[in-house]
Amino acid sequence: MNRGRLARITGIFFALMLVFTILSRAADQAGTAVVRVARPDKMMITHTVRASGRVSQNQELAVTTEPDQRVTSIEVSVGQRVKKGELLFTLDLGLLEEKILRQRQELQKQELVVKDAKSQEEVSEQQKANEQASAAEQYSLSTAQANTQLSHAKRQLQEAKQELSKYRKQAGLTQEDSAVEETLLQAVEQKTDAYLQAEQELVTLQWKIENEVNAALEDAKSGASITKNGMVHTQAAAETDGTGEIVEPLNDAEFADNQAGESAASGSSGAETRTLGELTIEGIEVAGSAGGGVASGDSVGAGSAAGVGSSGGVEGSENDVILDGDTETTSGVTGDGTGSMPGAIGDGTDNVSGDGTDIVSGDGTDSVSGGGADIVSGDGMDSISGSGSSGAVAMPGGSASQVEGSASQPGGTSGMNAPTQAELDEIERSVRAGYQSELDRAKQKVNTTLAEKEKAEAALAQYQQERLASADQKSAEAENQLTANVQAAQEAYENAALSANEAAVTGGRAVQTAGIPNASNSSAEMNEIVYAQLQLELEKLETLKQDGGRVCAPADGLITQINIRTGEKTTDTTALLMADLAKGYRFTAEITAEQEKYIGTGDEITLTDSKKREYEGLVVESVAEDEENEDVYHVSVQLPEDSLELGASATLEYSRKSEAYPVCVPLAALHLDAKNQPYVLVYDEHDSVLGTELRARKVSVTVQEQNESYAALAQGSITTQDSVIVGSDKAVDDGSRVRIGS
Amino acid sequence: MTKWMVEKAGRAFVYGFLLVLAGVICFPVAVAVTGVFMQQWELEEYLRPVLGGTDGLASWALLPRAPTLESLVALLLDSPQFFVMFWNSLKLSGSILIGQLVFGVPTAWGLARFAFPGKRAVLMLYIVLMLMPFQVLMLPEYLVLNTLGLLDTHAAVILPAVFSTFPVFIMYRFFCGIPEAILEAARIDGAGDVQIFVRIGIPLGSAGIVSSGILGFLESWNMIEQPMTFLKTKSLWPLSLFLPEIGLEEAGMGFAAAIMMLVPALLLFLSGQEYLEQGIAAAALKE
Repeated sequence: MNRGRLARITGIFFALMLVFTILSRAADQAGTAVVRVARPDKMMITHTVRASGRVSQNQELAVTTEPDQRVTSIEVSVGQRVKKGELLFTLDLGLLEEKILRQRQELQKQELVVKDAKSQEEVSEQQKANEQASAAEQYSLSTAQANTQLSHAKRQLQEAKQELSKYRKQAGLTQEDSAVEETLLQAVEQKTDAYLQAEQELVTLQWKIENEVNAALEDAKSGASITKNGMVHTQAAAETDGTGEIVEPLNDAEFADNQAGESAASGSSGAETRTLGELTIEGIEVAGSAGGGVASGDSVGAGSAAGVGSSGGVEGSENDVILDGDTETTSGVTGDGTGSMPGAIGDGTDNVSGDGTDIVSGDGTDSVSGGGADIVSGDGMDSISGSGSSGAVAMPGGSASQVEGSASQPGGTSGMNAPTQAELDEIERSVRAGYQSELDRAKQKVNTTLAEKEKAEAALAQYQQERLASADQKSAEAENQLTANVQAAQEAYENAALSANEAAVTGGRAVQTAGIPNASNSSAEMNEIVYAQLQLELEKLETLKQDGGRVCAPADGLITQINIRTGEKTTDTTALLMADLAKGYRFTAEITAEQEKYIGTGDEITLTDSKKREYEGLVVESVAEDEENEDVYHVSVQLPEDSLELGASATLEYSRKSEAYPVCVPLAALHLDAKNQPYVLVYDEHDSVLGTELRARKVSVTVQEQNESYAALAQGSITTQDSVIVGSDKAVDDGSRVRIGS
Repeated sequence: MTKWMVEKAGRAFVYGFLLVLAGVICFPVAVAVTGVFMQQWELEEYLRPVLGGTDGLASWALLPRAPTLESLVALLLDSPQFFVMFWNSLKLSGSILIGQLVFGVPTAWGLARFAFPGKRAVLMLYIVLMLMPFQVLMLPEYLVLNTLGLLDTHAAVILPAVFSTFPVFIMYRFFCGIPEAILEAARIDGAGDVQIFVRIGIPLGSAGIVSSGILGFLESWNMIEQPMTFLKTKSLWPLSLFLPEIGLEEAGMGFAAAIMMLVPALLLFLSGQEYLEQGIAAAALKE
């Protein structure tokens, strides 16, 4: 081979090797990370909390004025300081005066409305009183009439009997005969009285049942309305109470004055009660006078009184039911109710005793014949049965109240719904069922007494027939005539007694109907309330006018917001907002949850305002979590006087130092591996072909504490002698070749 | 069967045998050359049983499945270490070569052309030292180098090799082969000893000098034990220590490095081939 060529090839080869040497070194250097290193220091980890915030007022004042007034001038602007009493804005006086005038007119109008309402109420009350009076009058008239007729019939009967006995004496009948006839006559009379009484009882009972049913139905309905309006109901109860007391005098004339006096002292409708009481007393007196010494008339009166008494008892029990259903509302009302209840019961007993004595005395004076005991017993029966019936009324009333209570309780629980027709029917049925046996008994009694009476009459007739057969024809005719007269009178008397009883019952019902109070009417009071409101507004407007339409600052402060405009009308919202200077300022700033760990109440912080002035030693008043955002906290600092302006922004700074840690590295030196374990990179010198080479080495560490620039590491893995890589121009990993930059 | 036919058959057998041997000898070179152009995954597939520690036998393909220059580029552009070692090797081999020429040629001339007492004893000593393997000399050399403070320097490799006895022995043979009559004539013409050595001895013994130089260069180029023993700093290492550091992951680079390492030796061999052949022949001649 050519030697020159070989030499050239050799030269080229070495030249190429030289070039590649340079190239590969350049590439190698380009791939080496240039790092900065630092040695761990002994230092304290300082946590600095820095946040910017604003100065705000501790308290804000709202300045308001009358709405719908024109603003003529505003004397302040936002951010202006005002002293107490300083003029804020002026209102148009003309418009103000116009408003005052209109307000006065409104007031007058309202006054008239109040008056109208009052007179209306008076008129309706008058009407009511009239109605009641006329009903009572009607009642007394009809009973008196019936009684008169009754007494008349009785007198005729007596006369017929006397004539008969006179005639018999003349005829010279034997004592024996007359005694037998007397006995038979007495039996007939006794049976007749029993029959009449039974009839009376039946009528009274029927009427009472109707009354009960009505009351139960009313309660069931009003029980629903109780839940709707307790207020109205208590008023109604109070008024019912009043009528309950009104009825009481009807029962017992002796207590009428007392009762009326009491009701006048306690009830609001005292006056009318009194008049009604007086009327009733008169009625009773009339009845009494009409009855005179006639025992039967008296007994009828007592019977009617007992009937009314029973109705009174019903009323009382009705009261009680309502109050029972309403016990929770007011204790005062309950007290009233219990007050009236014993009253009703007392009346019942009074009734019994009163009637009893009356009848006894009446009978004692009136009954000429020895039948007084019979009449006494009859009347006693009557009064007793009357009281019994009233007792029964009170008892079923109690049961009825229970029924109603149970009816009103479902009504209460089922809310505002009125009872359905089916429920009402059910109530009616139950009440009626309660009285069914009593009613049956009364009917039975009527039937029995009627049958007995007829039997007694037949016996008498037979006796007379027999006797007459033995007597002569003429005398027999005359006696027959007389006996027929007596029988006719007897029948007339019976009829009169029945009609008197009916008249008493019908009249009593009319009186009771008239006694039902009017629906409550609170429009008068409401009108008065409106009147007072208008008056208050007028006063305010007049005060504003007295100030000349000028609205002044209520305290020293700083205007923060103006909601009104010159020339426009005011609204009913705030016109101006002021910061109350007397209450001081505070600085508030938002910090993160991370920062919140290092700052707390009582820490001394430093504030730096926008002009770089520092305010040191301010104490954190509170650190509170934001209501909406969990990661945000509000730091609040009370500011001393003359420190920062309201609304100024400032920066809060607070440093919390930890204990001294021996090994602290800059945070840039700390890395996290795939398992989130912290590590740092140190470097080692390695002897390599290319000379001494630096290689990074990974060292796992434990972080004790760290802030935003430094981390304190646990001793052991890293010492202060190791240099730690704190930065590089390329990604450095375990084993990467590195070069220490300047 | 004629004599001619027997002769022909014997020759064919010899050629065939030689061909097989040549193939066996050339095989590593072929492997090295094809390895350069193979990709890493292919090399790993073939060499895993040997280098990766798995069972089985290594296989090889004479042509790469996906030829690439990747390994060569990686070696030339991304491996500054290779070049450090390359230049280290060149420095060591060059220094040794020059040192051997500077000190070995005069020594061999003196031993060949001058008569002095104890000359035979010195020659005997040279031969004994030449026969001694490095393992014997390693410890004494180490101690000496340590005493001189030359350990972990290139001098620790260069100096013992410079004063190696093998080139002196080869050149001694060549110088002995120069006829005495030529030297007599030069002396008659008034040439001194230095003139005779420079003007007649070196040109006439150039074949020996070159061949000893080539042999010396090749020896020092492939030297492994000495640098391994005396050089601790890696940056001083010659290229011969690059390959042992190559693992399976860098097999491609290893093949490329092997080829690159072959190039200078090949160039040197080609340029001094005639002299080398002469020299080897001369060394084989009996006196």
